[in-house]
Amino acid sequence: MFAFLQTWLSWLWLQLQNVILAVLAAGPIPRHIAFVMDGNRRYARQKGYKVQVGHAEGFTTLQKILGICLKLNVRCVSVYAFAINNFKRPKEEVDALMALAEEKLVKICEHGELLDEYGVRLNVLGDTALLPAHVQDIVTKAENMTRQNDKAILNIHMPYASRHEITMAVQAAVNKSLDAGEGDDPQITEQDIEDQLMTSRVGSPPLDILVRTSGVKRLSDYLLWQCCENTQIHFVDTYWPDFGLWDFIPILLEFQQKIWAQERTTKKKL
Amino acid sequence: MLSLLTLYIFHGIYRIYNGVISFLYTQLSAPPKPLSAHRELFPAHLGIILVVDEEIDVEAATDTLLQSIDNAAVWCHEVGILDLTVYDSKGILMKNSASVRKTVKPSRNLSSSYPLNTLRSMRISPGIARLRLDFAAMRSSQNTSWFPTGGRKEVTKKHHLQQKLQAEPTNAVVDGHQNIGSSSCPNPLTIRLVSPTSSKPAIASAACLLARSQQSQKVTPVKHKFQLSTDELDYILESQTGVPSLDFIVVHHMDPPCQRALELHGFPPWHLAVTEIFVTPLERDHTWKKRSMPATLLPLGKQAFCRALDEYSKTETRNGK
Repeated sequence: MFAFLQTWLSWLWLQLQNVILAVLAAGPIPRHIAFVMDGNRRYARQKGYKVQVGHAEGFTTLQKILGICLKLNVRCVSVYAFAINNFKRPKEEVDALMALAEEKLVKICEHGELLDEYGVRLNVLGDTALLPAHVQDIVTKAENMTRQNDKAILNIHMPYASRHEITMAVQAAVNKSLDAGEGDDPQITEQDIEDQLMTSRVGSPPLDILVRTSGVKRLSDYLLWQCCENTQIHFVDTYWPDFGLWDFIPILLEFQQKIWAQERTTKKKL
Repeated sequence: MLSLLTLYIFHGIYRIYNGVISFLYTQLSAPPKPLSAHRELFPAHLGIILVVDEEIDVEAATDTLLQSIDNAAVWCHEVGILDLTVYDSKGILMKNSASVRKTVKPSRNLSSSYPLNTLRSMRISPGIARLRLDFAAMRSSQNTSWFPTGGRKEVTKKHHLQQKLQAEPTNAVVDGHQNIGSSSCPNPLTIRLVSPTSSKPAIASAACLLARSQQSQKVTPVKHKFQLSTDELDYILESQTGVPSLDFIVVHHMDPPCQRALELHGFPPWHLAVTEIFVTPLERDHTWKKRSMPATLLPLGKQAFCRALDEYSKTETRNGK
């Protein structure tokens, strides 16, 4: 009896979520949302788990939030999975994170339909040469499997640093200018650099929302170029493994209010 | 249609909820510590983004901006913050840098034994004006030099990069170096006015400079691909703009609504990599002003500044660990 009630309540909760998402989808929806998935370790410490368990639960949350974004038709989701600086962490933790990344990417490769159902193209962005060779191989395999998908984009930033991305973009823009023979009068613009960013090269739209969980209020070298203009930034106190639809709803409502306010201003000017 | 109607109801409930929370916050929140209170941590380099909305009258905004920068300069001086960068998204402060020079004055409580020396103004690059206020700090604090002056490693890096650029050091760098050297005051407060031209356009300018430099170093018979490191670009941007990375940035809306998500309004992105960010809330005294005179623009207030310092003093940097 109790099991039946539990199943029924879970079903009811799922239907309620779907109704809420359908209502939200009636308004403006962000094209690109980025998440700094912070707080896995503090979550684990709070619950008395090992750090690796915190990261594993964080991955479950990632799947849940991805599902929500896909139901809302968010075109692109970016997640900060691993910073270049994170290699400074204890070896045991870094190895566990690499193993988790490999395990999940293998799962994606073996059950490709998970992303194919929603037409998601997977990109792993960052200084991937720093990853262990076996992780690099599985990254390449996972990216190749989803390359033909074009309905949505999932960017996994690992190992990543925004200053590194901007530097590589400047480097590429300079080389392009030199190859084009612009001579002593190079005409490198902001747009030229933007086009060379890793997120732009994989077709990501402009960033509308950036969310950082766990209460930390800094960007930690994530998507600096992309988020410094016209991006709403939300610092949420919830730890990432606990982040859910109820934390997400106010963020979406804020975005919608911004878009409607912009539309009203445009109409007034006309 | 039904979904859209339900969505409007959601938004209505959300606005009411935000209004109540905002009201309760202004009425019930504990006041921040006084400015002179002990705090574990102060930012060495503080930034302030003064948000000027589209609908705001530019002349009214200018007065409020000037008042905000004057307030911030005095309070920074009082707590020993020696490096202040102020940004507004429309570049109003930059256009009125002469007015800023006239407006910013020392604290009225400054003792006569710490005289205010002449303000020096210097243009570093389009989009940045730097005012050096040479008044002595009331308490000793670290002298923050934005130009690398210490150590063999720094000198070697500078020399190597200058060779790579095959350019003379910019006037800004030379002037800045001379300015620091010539300052008679040990702990001057540096105020930088920053506008959108020093944001992404500065990075594009740095790219043009690098391309020009590479072009002049024609390597034959094989053309080597240009390579750039993060440290090198960091050095160029900090040298060219005179703006080092910020420890803490305060975002202040001069016409605050009940609830608005944080945005950075085009602030130079490179300098925000590890910056703590704080948005000023609507304080109790400001709520009263807004209710009695809805058209009033609110300058950066002392309560909000103190609250920002309280927040910063609680932060913890992990550097990836």
